Amino acid sequence: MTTVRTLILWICLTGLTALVSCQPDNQCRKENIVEMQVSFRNKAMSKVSLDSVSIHGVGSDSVLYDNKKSVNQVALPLHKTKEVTQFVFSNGTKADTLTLEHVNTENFISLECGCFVYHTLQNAYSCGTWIDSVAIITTEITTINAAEHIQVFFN
Amino acid sequence: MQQNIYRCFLISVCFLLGLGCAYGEETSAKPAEEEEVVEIPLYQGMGVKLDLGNSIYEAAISAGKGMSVEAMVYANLKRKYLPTVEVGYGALKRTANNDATFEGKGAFMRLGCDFNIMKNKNIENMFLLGVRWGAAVQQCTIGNIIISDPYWDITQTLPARQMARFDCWGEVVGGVQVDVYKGFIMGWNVRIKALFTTVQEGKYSPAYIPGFGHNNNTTFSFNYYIGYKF
Repeated sequence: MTTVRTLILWICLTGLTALVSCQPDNQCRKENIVEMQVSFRNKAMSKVSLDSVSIHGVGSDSVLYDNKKSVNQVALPLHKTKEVTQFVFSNGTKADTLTLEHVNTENFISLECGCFVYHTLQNAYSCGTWIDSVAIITTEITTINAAEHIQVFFN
Repeated sequence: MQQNIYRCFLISVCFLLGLGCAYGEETSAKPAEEEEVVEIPLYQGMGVKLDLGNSIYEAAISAGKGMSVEAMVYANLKRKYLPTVEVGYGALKRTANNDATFEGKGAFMRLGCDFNIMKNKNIENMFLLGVRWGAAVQQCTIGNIIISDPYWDITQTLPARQMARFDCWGEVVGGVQVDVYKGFIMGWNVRIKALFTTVQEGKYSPAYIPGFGHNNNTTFSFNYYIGYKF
């Protein structure tokens, strides 16, 4: 009977655990930040820090970076419903516009999390007034944080 | 309300366990020399059961927006093997914290076998361990999924997505079944379930599967049932 009683106890405890654990979780617990990582480079391809950097998206009233000192990498949100996103970079004396062409994909995560919009970079270029060139390193922009998606080379 | 349901459930479980133990003790008290080895005929009858616990629990956790009804039929072979068919219907309406909505309803069926693990097969009460293969078909709709981005000042509601789904899963079942009065039986079981069907990452998937429960890769559920054996 000892074995049977142990079994009963085991089933009972499993039951109690199940009672507690069967509740559906209404909170989204997934990382939901989808941002493009941009690193700043000089012509020698090495990372460079810039001073007094301001960045804002074309079409938005908000500033993403305002007069930031010693910046060598920034994270920028691409537009979720348009396939072209532009950012204006300036440092008080110089300014340039970075244009990104991308495809947006809606990814259903769960009822609680809804859809995350991921991006696939297709093209990146600038006006050439301050930024020399742009290189796409990783095309897929998702919640998995890549070290850098694009490299921006400054004159 | 939920607390009361848990309390009732636990009291009932204790009652059933008490019955099971009492019968077990009674039988094991017999002297060894009186026990006879009797060949048990293959067919020992059949029974039907109606699930109560899962229905109540489903209704409670979904605040009245869900329902699950389930019936089971089994055959008793040699008082050891109980091939079982379970059929049911489940439905759920659910709104998440982000106001996304899910509405699904469908039928399910499980096939499997329980094994009576009581050493003494001559007593009517049984401790059962079993396995199931389950399948469900449902129509469901996911709606009010909102894409928003405060920086770009975007708030866009995606069109509702309707799906017809087939899902299947496996279960391991453990529980007890006791004779209550003249063929009437009561019992409960706990099930651990693993979903076999998967959805490609990023595609819409149902928040609930009838007969399986809330859509996680593994989940638990209960049946607390009454029935009659023939």
